[in-house]
Amino acid sequence: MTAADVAGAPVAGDESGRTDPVDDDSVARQGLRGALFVPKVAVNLALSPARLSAWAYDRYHLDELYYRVFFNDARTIGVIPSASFTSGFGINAGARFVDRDLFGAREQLSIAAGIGGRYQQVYKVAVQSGDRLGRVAVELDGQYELRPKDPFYGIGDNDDSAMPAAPVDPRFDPTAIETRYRERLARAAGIVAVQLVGDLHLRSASELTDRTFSPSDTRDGTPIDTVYDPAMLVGYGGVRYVYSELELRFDDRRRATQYEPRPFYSVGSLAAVFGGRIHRLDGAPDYWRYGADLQHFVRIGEGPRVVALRLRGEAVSGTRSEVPFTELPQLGGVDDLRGYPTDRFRDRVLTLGTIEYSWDLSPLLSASAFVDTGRVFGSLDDFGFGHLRVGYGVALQAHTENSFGFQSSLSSSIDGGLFLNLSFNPVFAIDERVRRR
Amino acid sequence: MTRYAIPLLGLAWAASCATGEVPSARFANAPAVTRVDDRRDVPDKPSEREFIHSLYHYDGVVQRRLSRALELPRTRRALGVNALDEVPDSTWFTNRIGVRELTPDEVRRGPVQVGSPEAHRPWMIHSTKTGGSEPGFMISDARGKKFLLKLDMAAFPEQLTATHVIVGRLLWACGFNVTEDHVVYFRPDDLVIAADAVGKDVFGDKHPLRRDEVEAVLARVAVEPDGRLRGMASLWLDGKPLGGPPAEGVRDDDPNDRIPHQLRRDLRGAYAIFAWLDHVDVQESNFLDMWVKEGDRHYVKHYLLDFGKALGVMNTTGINPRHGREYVIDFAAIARSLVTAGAMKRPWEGREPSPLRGVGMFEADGFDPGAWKPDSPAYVPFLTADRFDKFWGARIVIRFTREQIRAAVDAGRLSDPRAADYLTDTLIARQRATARYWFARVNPLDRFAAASSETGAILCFDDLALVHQLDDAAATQYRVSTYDNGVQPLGPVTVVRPDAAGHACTGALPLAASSDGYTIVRVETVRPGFDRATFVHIARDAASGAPRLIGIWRP
Ligand SMILES: Nc1ncnc2c1ncn2[C@@H]1O[C@H](COP(=O)(O)OP(=O)(O)O)[C@@H](O)[C@H]1O
Ligand SMILES: [Mg+2]
Repeated sequence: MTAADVAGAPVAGDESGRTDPVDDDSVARQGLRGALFVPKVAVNLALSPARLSAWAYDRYHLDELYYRVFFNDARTIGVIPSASFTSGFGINAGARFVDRDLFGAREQLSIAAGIGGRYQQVYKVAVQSGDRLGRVAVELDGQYELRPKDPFYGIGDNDDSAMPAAPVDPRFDPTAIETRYRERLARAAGIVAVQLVGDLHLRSASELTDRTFSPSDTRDGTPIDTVYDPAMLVGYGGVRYVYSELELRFDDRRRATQYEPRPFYSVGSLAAVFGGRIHRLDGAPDYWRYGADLQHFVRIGEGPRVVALRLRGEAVSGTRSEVPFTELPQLGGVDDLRGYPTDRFRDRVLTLGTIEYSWDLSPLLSASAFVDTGRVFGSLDDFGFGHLRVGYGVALQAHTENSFGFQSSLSSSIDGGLFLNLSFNPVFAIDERVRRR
Repeated sequence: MTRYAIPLLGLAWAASCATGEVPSARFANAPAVTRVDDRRDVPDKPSEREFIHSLYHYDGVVQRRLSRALELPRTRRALGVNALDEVPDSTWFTNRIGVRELTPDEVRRGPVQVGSPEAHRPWMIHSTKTGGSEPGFMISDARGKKFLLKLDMAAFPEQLTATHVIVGRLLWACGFNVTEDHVVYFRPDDLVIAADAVGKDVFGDKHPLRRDEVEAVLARVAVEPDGRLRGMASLWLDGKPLGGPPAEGVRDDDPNDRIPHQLRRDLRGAYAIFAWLDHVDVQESNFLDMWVKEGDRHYVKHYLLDFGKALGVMNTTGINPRHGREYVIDFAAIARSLVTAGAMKRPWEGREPSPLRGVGMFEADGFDPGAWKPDSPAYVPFLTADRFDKFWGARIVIRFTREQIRAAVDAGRLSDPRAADYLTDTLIARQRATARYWFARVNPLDRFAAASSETGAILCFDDLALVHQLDDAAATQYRVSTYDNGVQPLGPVTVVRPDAAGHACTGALPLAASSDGYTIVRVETVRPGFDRATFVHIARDAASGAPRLIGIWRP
């Protein structure tokens, strides 16, 4: 059709043939619209920073710009910023340098540094063998941390108590008060993992660790030595040890279909058992550490909607007088027994059970509701189902198709308290004994 | 003035109740407008609109959505509609299927005028493709014709290329302006890099295009068993590109663009058509206005382009079965899922990609023509579209015969005949679902014709639900009543029945006594579970005195 074909035809908008009066907006609507003018301007003004970011993101290709500035062209070498927030500790910020392809077989080097939150300073170096060694994966780590305010609530499954008259012996006294201590930690670790068959792996790990302690600043909370007698805090004078362990791990946790986000397990199980020996280099007696981690994921619907079950147990063979207070199995915080403060409980034996239901909200967002229950025991003989600690809460996870973004959770427990956490680690990550906090 | 407004409103309301039977629409006693002149000279090139992806979707999903709600837009019937509730031909839309006989061959050719570059190799590469993330090049063939060459991703052979062409042909037949697209086969050495070819990175920085960059693109692409590559060549449109039209309002510097786009029937009604085709990739960058030259005048012509994500291809290539059932960022779906803790079954559950080569996740089962969603809520005409617009779209959709649909599918050159069969069958099933859905929401009477009789007029029409065997003719009847311009009944209510083919004619209807015999005929369709009316306006042609159709109003 050409201009000549339509010459003489009515212009657009004049085609209706209608002769009745055009209806217009009612007076009421016009009035209300006038009244909403100011709120509308306010909304637009309030949202203008977001709008500006959306514009700048594309206009300046900020994602690409980031890679251009902080990465090489192949995107194997670069710098990644990081941040996290933990209630009770505050915000941690840092950066990580990575080279994801050192020698062409995805061998990885990573060097990270951070400040704030739990850490005054934290430095980590890691080298991983990538695909270089086939079924064998080797990792070497170095770690140095200054932690100004790690918490200590005494030893044992004790309820919060009143301030004692004089410093007590935490090995025998049930006083549980939130105190803080300072720590310097230096560690070197090596891990060798061998794929035996399929999803069955044998991992051997060793570490050399050196930790020293001192009371925290009073502005960071109650210093540990005002409640607990430093002479009775095993290891408080400093610990140095070599820890070596063997772990047998079956792990086929995975997503069920390609339509589910990769960072979430929706089917499969984990079964891991480990045993290891702490060999003290500071003259104190050696002891064993052993335990198991069982996880099972049941996919009950698409999206996915998943029920996750977890059982974890860990114990040390040494007595309370032998095992340094920082090496006792600990419970509480974002990673285990949510709804309680970080490291709220510690003792020679730990048990933990989790049931968590998670469901997708959108391809990039999922929600979960969880109950964590567990407690610590003075010895295996004390083990029982009485007086379990129970925490519960809800969480929201953001992720991309390929990687975990963050998890924000709100939790409480039968003992009260409310905890808001923002974490950049998935909850069902395996707690490693070497390289542990 | 405002002092009287409230009582006046009350009066108007009372009056409308009394004459509630007959809506207030009235039409001039004139033939309906079948084409509008929006090709008046636009001597100065209107400015090009820049598409900023994140900003566009941010606005569409969040900010403009909020501020639009605060503007209290009134639900309004579409404009750009003639007296017979049809869209006249314009630079946006040309009535094709159903208005004239389209042979299957014509559908297969669609907008093709220049022809495929396949026989005109080698091709000269001028640059890598800009725009979305799919691999592609700007090429010219041995005739010197310029094309955008798009390729299938390795994991999804034939999907994008076939869909692009099939959907382009169908949308052309529906009446839209589309690009001339071809499925082409070629070999890597048919691609010659032009001396001045440039590669562009995302920042728009250019550098001389290297062979290894071309190889890198080709490495991501599906390869035929015999080593050939398959592509989709889209003939570069004539004229100067102006970017996509704004989703709301008009292009201010185009005087021919007079109807706010959110009120255009052709854009709003496209909802039913896009839903049929699962054409979810609806965003400003997939519309293109061209400032074209004709003789010594210029005007703006409006195109649809980029159909490669339709027919469920977005679900497979985007690896997300939610496409078409939810927006990509869908606050309502998030909220529903959150409060029901996932207990509610979502409409996309259970979807599986087709095992057939070249077919995406495209099915008729579970297709809800009224709940279909494009990827983004940013496209305002789909938010303002009402059932009348979608009824218009559904009327176009149902006009396609199996042969016509098959012809469009054949243009996609799918290698597996079962894939072509599947797409044809699925398109037909979705076509019927579309019609069934919208024909239940508006009285589906169409193709009205008035003839004179001794005492007045006879009105004939088709009942589309019966013509297309979506409902039962034996259980259907029409109650016909007539009114004059002042809404006075002209005679008793009569009842007529359709023939087996869904066609019906009234008996002789009295015409009003006024000079032009302006008469409003109310035709109410009654069948089990259905009772809706259409108002047909008839008047005498001043020249011949014969009654003619001057308006249709669907309430
Ligand atoms: N045939 C054509 N003629 C003119 N411009 C075109 C043509 N095809 C695409 N374009 C332009 O190139 C851009 C990208 O093309 P498109 O088909 O939308 O690819 P993508 O899959 O990357 O979105 C479009 O937004 C349009 O501006
Ligand atoms: Mg596009």
